[in-house]
Amino acid sequence: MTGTAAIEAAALGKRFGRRGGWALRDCAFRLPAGRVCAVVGPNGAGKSTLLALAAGLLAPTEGAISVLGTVPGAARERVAYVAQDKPLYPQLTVAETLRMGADLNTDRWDASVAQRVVADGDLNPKSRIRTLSGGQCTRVALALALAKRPELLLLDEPMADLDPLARHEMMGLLMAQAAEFGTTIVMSSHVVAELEDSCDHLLLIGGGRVRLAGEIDELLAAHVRVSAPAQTALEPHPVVESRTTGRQLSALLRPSTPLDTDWHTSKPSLEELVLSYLRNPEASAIETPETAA
Amino acid sequence: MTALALSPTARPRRAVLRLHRPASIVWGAFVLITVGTLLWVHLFRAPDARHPVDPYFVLTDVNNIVNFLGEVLSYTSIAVAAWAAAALVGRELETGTARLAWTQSVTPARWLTAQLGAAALPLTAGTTLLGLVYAWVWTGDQDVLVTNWSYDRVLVPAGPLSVALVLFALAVGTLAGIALGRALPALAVATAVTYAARYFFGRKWDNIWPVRRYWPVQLSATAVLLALTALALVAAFALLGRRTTIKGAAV
Repeated sequence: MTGTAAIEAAALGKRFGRRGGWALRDCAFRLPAGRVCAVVGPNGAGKSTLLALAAGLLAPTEGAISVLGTVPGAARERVAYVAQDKPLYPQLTVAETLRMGADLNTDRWDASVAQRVVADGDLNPKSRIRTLSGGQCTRVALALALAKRPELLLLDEPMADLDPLARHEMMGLLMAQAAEFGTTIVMSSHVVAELEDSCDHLLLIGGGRVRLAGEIDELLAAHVRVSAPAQTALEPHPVVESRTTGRQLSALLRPSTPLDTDWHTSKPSLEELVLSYLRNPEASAIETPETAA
Repeated sequence: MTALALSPTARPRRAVLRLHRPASIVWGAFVLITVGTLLWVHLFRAPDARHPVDPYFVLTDVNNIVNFLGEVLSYTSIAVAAWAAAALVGRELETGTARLAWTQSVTPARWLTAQLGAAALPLTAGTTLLGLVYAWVWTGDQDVLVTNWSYDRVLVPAGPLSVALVLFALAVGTLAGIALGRALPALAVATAVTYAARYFFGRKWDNIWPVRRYWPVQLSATAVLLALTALALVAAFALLGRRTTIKGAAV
């Protein structure tokens, strides 16, 4: 473990209401600074709760989370957060919304960044927010977040409202930000394919728990897709998922020792890996050594 | 707020004023029109009433106008409570814009302080001016008015009680907004509580005093209301801190 972690969670849990269910429980992971991290998981897995905890909008029910080496509330100057529903003040114009960002982030605000993001979307600065489409609101929300020049950018389903062209362009903008300023970006999505090319770190959440955490390359390298005759014993390798079709067994393994040479093996894609874990909630959670908290 | 406050140069109050420009304009217009009408009564209608030449007309009758304005001014606090509960705080929490504000470089407590400050200053200034002008006109024109200081339409708007009641409405609206998190329920609760306070201090408080005199009634009611305002504000900040942030990071 070197340097300050962008986010570090230990036994983190959040329950809504005294009798409510746990939205997140027993979460422990470490996200090194400078990564572009995908937070994936099914609907209701706890992704938004985790991001809100990191943004200092919710207090944990148990455990602890630290952001940029301090408590989330104290880091809010250096953290930008875009909520899933992209809340903006409907009565303001685009230009007024950006002026508000300038007023509330005087020490860090970069007006030229905000102008550029808004202008690239052909948005009239005099348009009222209430007249904008969902995608246009997303653009204004991202302009606010990027112009703050954050060290950590938390994005909850940022691309959901964007058309494919805008999505591609915004992703390019985010990657440029990450490359130029070393910004750590954490974005949640349930569309895994969307994130595969741009993210280098994965946090898979399912049922309120961390199922997988680590560098995507390492996670992929640690797993093998195996085809073998049915009834083949897969022990001692930990099995994430196995399926028998006729006389053929196909499985996703996390090999602990070199594999049998007569098995047919292939590298899984990120989507296969994620889906295998999500389909099999009893498969044990793993973290690559670097990210173990 | 403390030496540890983030981003000391941030200008949250300016941002709040930008958000609530329509409300500021409405408040300013209300104060101006009301003061103008009171001056018109004092300078033109009251002298006319002393030597009536015009036939009686219901909309220009001195008593009718002063009574009407007294009623309106005595209920200003209800509108303030409704606005604070719904527009200032409840709607922010309901639509999620509060999360937008709280993830800029200001803490939830500082944002709420800015909201309260941006509202309290014009409300205090405007209500003080209205109270002074109303008291001046009412005192000067008593000879043509059928009135008594103990009527709630005189007692409430003519003294510091009016300022205390408006600040109480602001605090109660804020507390209801934070506690309920939604605009409409907060509006309902805040207006009901403020109406009850206005009724109690406007109509019942003076009966509690054995010797009924204007200033003791005014000042004691003002003091009690300001104490209740302070309590509501403490509760609002405590609730906000508990709901949003991790201990120690609230300021």
